[in-house]
Amino acid sequence: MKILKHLPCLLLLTALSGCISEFNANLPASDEDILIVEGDIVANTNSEFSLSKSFPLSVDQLPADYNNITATVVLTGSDGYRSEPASKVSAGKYQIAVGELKSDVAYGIEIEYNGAKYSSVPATPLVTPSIDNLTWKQPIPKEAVAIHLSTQGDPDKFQYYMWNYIEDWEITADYYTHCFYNPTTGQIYQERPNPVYYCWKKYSSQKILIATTESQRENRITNHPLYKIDPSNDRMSVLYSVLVKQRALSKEAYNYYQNLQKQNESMGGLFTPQPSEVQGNIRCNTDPSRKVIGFVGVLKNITEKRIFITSAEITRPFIYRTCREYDDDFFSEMQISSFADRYSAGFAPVGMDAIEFWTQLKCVDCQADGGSKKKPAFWPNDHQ
Amino acid sequence: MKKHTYLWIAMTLCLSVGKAVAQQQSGIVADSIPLQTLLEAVEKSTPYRVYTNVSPTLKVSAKANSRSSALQQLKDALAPTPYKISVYENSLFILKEQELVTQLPSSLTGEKAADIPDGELHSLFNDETEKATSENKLYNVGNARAKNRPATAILKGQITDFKTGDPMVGVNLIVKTPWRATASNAKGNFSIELPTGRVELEIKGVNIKDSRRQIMLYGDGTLNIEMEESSHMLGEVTITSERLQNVKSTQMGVTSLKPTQLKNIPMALGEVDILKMVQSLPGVKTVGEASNGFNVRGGATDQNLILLNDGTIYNPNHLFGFFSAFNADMIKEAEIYKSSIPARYGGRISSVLDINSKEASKEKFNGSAGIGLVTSKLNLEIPVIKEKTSVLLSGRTTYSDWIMKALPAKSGYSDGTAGFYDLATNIAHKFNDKNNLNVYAYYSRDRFAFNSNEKYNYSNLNASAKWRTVLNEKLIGYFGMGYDHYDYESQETVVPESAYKLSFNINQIFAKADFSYKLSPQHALSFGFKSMLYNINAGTYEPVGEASLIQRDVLQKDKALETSFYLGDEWEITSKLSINAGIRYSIFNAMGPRTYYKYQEGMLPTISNITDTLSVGSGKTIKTYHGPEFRLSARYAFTDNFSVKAGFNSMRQYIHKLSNTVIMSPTDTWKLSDAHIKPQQGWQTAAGLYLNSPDAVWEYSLEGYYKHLSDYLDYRGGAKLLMNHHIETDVVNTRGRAYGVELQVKKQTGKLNGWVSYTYSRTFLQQNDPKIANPVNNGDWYPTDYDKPHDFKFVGNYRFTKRYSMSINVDYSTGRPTTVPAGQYYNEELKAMMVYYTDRNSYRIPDYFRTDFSFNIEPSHKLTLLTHSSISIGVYNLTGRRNVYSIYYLSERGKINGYQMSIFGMPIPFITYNIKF
Repeated sequence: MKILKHLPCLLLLTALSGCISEFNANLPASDEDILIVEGDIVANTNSEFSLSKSFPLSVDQLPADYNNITATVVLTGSDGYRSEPASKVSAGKYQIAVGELKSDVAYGIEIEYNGAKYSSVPATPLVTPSIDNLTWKQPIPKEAVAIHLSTQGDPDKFQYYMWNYIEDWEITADYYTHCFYNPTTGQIYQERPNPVYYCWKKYSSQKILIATTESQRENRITNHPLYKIDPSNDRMSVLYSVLVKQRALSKEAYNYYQNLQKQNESMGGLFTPQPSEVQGNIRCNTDPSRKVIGFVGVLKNITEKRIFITSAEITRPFIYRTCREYDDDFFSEMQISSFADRYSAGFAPVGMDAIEFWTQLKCVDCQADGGSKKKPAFWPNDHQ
Repeated sequence: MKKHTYLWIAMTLCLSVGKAVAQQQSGIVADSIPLQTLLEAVEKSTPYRVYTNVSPTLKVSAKANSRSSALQQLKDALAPTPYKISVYENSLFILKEQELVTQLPSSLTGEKAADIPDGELHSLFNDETEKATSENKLYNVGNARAKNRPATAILKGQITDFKTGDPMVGVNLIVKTPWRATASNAKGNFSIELPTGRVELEIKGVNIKDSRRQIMLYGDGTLNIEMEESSHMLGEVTITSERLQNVKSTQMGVTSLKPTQLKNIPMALGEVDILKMVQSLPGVKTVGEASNGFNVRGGATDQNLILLNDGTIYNPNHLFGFFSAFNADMIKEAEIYKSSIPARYGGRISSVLDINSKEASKEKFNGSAGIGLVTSKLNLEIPVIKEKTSVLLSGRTTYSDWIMKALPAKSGYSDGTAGFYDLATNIAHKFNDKNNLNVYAYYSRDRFAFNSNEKYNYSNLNASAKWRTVLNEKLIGYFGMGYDHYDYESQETVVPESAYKLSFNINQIFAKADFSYKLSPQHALSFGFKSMLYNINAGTYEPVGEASLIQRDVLQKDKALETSFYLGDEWEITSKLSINAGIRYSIFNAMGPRTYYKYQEGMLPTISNITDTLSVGSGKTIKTYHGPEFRLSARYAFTDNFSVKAGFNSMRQYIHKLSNTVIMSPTDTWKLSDAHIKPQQGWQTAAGLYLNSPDAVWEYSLEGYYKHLSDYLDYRGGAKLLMNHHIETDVVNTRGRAYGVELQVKKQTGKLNGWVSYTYSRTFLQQNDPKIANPVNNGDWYPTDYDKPHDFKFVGNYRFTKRYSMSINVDYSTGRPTTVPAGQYYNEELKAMMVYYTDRNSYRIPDYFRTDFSFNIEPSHKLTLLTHSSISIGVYNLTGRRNVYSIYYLSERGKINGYQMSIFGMPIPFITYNIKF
């Protein structure tokens, strides 16, 4: 019930105090390392399976050996097919070159690890329909931009979908300059065009995005809201692009991901159900009581769609700029007169033919603002 | 001399009216002094000469009290005897069974004197309608001239409030030798078989001063007793009841609560709340602060039967548990049974909370109103036909959506709305002494919206009629019928394509008959039946708006007939030993029309092992469950102040709440037993020790219990509870056990009163069905969500003066169990840490501790004022402790973060103003 997740907010506000605080306690640690299996069997691809081990909640950083796993991974089919053991491409990562998958054959994987045998529940491959429409909308000016998706599969069957997306967006530095300071030589030099004016950022979704047509009149997904973008974010400053990948899920897979979603993303409501153990589709055959986490899906294909949004198409709220122009008076007052000192204090010159003023480094160098010079290959403009 | 005469008259008047006051002043009773001594004292201190034919050696009981005059003492001493005093000028005449009619000087006494309804004169006639008001007077009952006086006779009558004329309930009437006791029923009526002759009837009860009446019983007859409540004005500060019952009744674990007793107890947001009060009793627990669902002795929240005038209340909450759905002003009394449950109740396996609404005064218009921070309320008692018909109207509402409006616009909730109201009425009509009719109606509604796109509402509706008839001296019948309804609806239209409305409702019609039959002085039988027809709309899911693609989906209706019969006997074997035994037999027919699946034998129902689809037509029975329930409790009273009790009871429950949340959630639905869902069953055995201090100031009780539950519904991992067409594939049966010890010390009188209780209790569940492949916690016993071993409660009130009092609540308990992640792992695709869970309830949230404080002021105590107001100012959670409601973990930006949530994490001040008129 979506409505219920708001309740704590109301209650908290009623009590006029922020009643949620961080909680850190030494929880009872589970003594076993649970095998985690990730990856789908996708026809005509090099399907990658990631194997790792669980670790205690008290561990802050990813332990170095979390994926230090040596196992044998084999793709099997109900027609007796057995692939060659997967090749290990990196720590915990195994790749199988999957060919054409037959529609009437149930496929699964078998894993041999630490003397135990695991296997996924075999399933026939699912066909992922194409994404009909990927659109964006800014219903209220200066407020969130929402990304919507529409798709349609076999109208006679319930559909279950999962999405991932990869965002790429272009940013620019605040000031365009030709003058730069070289800390090694201590010289001001000129460079045209400005090499650190245009940068790109990348992000991939960290949330589980799923939907079903189960409760709907028709088996199609129409304008399903995927996520929202705050228009003041730098994603909306120049040019933004997103690639959405769509995968069809089985009902079991949908339930599995829905539970993961609940347990990881929507806990904490007043009426949130108690979490419980989630069963994936992998079992330990040699010791059924041994726990294993993961769901291996079987797919004919994955579909994707990309859209672009330019800053001109949306309205952005007033954005408070932190970039300032500093002149020599400022620096003499601060008693940092030399260029070297200015540079090490985090300032950079701005000027086309001569220095006009100084500003913070991140205001002239987009890399200092978290950008990268790796321009995506598909980027539709000629910015360098 | 004239002066004395005047005084004398005044005294006669005062005897009845000022009884309560007089008694307060009375000192030690010096038993049996010769009458002569008193007569001498009178002659010495007054100008009166005494003339009498009474033997001067007659011994009378008199109170040694320096404050009342010798004359008063004589008066008191003679009242219980057949001798009457008459005054003529300077002479006092004391004569047996008669009185000289003397004329008083009108110049002194005026009109008043002429109108004096001199009590003594009345005693000359055996007036049946007379109300017995005096403690010291001897009332004659029955035909004194009958030739053969029977050995025993039945005394019946009604106990009413002197001031309002309202019947008084639960007042105990006791005759010490031989031991006979009864209590007035809901109508204030009582009936007791007593040996004929001179009897002294002790009257004790909540909110009244202990009193007695002297009766000369010649044969069957009626004596209506008028009592003064200890005190609207004398200090309405009694906190609890069970005063005498504690030791004397055969029942265990019963507490009766009256809202008037609760008004000095500090409450969140200043509202007197019967459910919050119930939660402060030992053995009653809640999982969190925003919850009115409660757990009794290790039972689940759906195992409590909440009755309001016989109607079942499915959602007793307002505003998601901030308030209970009952306006305290309309409640006369609420009783909670947590151990020995009388045979007349059934249908839930943990407890019964029986709430009865007030009956308006038939004599006088009364009312009350209250203003609090969140709600205001009004309660009117309207006599329609004097002494015949009255109407009680009661209502409560929230002011506006101020809670939501008060939120900053940025929060996104400021255009939300929230509100509730409840209405209740009780129409009472008295046809004659033997027949009464009550018609009750109750409606409550809550609505809630965070914005115009997300709305939620629910309502309770109950209507019932109850006819009480005295069939003969020994047999009283109660006939009732009613309709109960509960519904909720939630609507979400955020995304037009998936805009939906979800609704659910329960309807039930019942008819019942209860009889109480006084078989003999030793046996009080009760028997009856109840039949209830359920019709549940298990869920309707439908699109909202043109653009919505939602498919309308309606679950099959759940229909059933539940019929039960019971017989109970309260058997007083000796004055010390009594037994309360009962049997109840219930038959449950799950009825069609219904289409359901058949699953492979010996396997847990799942979609993959459906073997057949069966259809049952309308009105046909799908499945019948039936079985007996036994109720037994016994008491052995070693002395008047010390008793031991033990009991056993078994219960059956045919309706189950579908919820996998810890607390009662507003979207909980209910499911009847059907072909696959078995009834829940439970039994409890308990024993206790009850001790009162000889002066009845202190009460000690110690109760222990062991309880067992079977076929309680638990949910499989990732269960879908809403709009599930085959819920049996998402649930599993579990069994439970609970045990505990409850210790309570109460002080009922004095400036300081209240109670302290400590409970040690445990409660566990186990998925013992061998068909379950992966049972929770490997099939071991695990603690329930409300397993809080140590529990300490203090509720106290200190009265500085009649006007000022102070109340404090202290509540401590062990933190409740919760399920925490067993560990984490890295999700390569999302590049995020994720948690996983294994064992249920393996960790406990921090302990709970809260102190509330309130200061109560009653500005005026004058009886003559038209209105009486009271103000309560206080602080909830005085220490501001951030009691943890839940602990949870979220995967955010790729990392796992732990949080704790508290609901009232700071001191919350409140003020309420109440007025009575």
